[in-house]
Amino acid sequence: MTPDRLTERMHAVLDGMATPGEARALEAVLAVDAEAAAEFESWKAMFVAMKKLPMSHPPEGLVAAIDKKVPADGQLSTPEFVFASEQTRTPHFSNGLRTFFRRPSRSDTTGGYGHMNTNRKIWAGGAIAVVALGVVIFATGFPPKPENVTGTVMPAERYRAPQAGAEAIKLGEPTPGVLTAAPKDIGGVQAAKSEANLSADRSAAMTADKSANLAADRSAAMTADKSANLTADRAAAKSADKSANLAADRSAALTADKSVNLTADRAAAKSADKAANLSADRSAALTADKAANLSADRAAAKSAEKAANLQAEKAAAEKKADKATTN
Amino acid sequence: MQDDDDQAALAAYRGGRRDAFIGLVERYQRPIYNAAFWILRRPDDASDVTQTVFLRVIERLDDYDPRYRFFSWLYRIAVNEALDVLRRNGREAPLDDAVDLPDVDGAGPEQLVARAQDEEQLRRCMLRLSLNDRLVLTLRHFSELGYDEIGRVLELDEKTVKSRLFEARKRLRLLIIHQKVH
Repeated sequence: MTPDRLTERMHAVLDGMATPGEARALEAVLAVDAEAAAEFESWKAMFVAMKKLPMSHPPEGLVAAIDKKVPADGQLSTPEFVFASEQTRTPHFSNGLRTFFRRPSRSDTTGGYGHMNTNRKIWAGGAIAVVALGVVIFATGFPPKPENVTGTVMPAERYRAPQAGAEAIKLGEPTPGVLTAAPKDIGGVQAAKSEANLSADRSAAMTADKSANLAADRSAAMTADKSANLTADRAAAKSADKSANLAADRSAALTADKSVNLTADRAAAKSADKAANLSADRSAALTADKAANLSADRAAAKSAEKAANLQAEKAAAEKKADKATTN
Repeated sequence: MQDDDDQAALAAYRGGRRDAFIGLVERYQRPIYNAAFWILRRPDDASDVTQTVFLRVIERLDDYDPRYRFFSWLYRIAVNEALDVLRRNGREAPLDDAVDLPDVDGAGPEQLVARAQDEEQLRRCMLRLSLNDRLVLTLRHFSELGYDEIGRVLELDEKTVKSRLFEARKRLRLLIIHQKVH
C-alpha cells in the first residue's frame, strides 16, 4: 500500500466510512508499522479537534426575522414570487441569470421579499415602454432611413438681367424712345428681382440647413466618440481590475504554495532528523549491546579458564597426595 | 429519525401549520448559519444567507424530492446562496488576521483560555484554506454529511468528494504544523 493510499484508508476509517474489511486491513498494518500507527494517531487528533470545534451561534433574533417573513403555506408561490421562483427553479452553481435578475442587497435580504414585487413592476414597465417605442418606430418609419431620403441639392441660380445692347446706348441724346421703353422693362426686372430674392432665400435656407445638419452630424459624432471613449475607458478599467484581481489571486496562490512547500520541506527535514536520530540511537544501542555481549563472553571465558586452572591444580594436588600416601 | 420529523414538519406546513416551519427554522438555523459562515467568512453575510435560505425553501418546496434527506437539500440551497453572494461580490473578501470570529458556546473564562489556543488556531487555519477546501471540510466535519450527500450538495461524484476531502485535510494539517512551527 502506498503512503497516500494508506492515509486515505486512515481517513475513511476515521470518517466511519470504511468497510469492516478495510478497517481490519488497516488495523493489521498499524499493528506492525509503528510509523503508520503514529501517523494514524496524529490524524485522529485532528479529526477529534475538528469535531470538538464548537458551532458558532447565529445572531439573536434571526429566527424572529425569518418568522416575520414566513407566510402561511402557499403564499410565497403566489404570482408575486413566481418570477424569482422561475429563475431559481434548478439550483445550480453557475446560475448567472438568477444573479442578474435577483440581485438582493443586504437590505433586500433583511427587508423582505416584498422588494421583489416592486422590482418586477419596474422591469415590466420598462419592457412595455421598449415594446411601445418599437411599435412607433415600425409604424411611422421615424427616424427615416437613408434610402428613403432622396433629393438633389442644386446650385442657386442668380438672376441675370439682359445686357443693354449698343443700340440702346446713344451718347449725348437721351431719346424718349429709350426712356419710354424703360418702364416696360422695369416691371420685368422687378419680377426677376423678386424671383432672384426667392431663389437666394431658398439657397440661404438650404445652406443653413446643410450647415445645421453638418453641425448636428458633428455633434452626434462627437457624442458617439465621447460615449465610445467612455465605454472603452470603463472596459479598460474593468479589465485592469480583473487583471489586478487575477494577479492578486496568483500571488496569493504562489505565496500559499511557497508556504506549503516550506512547511513540507521543514517537515521533511524534521522527519529526516528524527530518522537520523533514531538510526543513531539504534546504532548506539547495538554497539552497546555488542560490547556487553563481548564483555560477557570474555568474562565467561575467563571464568571457564579459571575454573579449568583450579581443577587442574586440584587434580595435581590430589595426584601428589595419592603419591605421598602410596610412598 | 430526524428526517422523519422534518418530513412531518413539512407536511404540517403544507397543511397550513406555519409554526411547523418555524420549528424547522429553529432546528437548522445554527448549522446553516455555520455552513454559510465557513464559506463566506463574514458573520453578517452568513446571517443574511441563513434568512434567504429558509425563504427559498418555502419558495421551492414543490421541487423538494422527499427521497433525500431534508437537511442535505437545505445545505444545497445554503451553499448555492452563499456562492451567489461571493459571485455578486466579485471575489472573496480578503482575510485579515483580525478576522471577526463569531461567538462560540458560552464557557467560563478559564475553560476558554485553556482550549482557546488550539481552537483558535484550528479556526484560523480553516479560514485560510481555499473556498473548495472549506466547502468539503465544512460539509463533512461541521455538517456531518456523508460522502454521497456532499456529492449531491456540490454536484460531484463520491470519488471526487473523497479525493477533495483528502487533499483539503492534508493542506489543513500542513497549515496547522506551519502555525505551530512559527
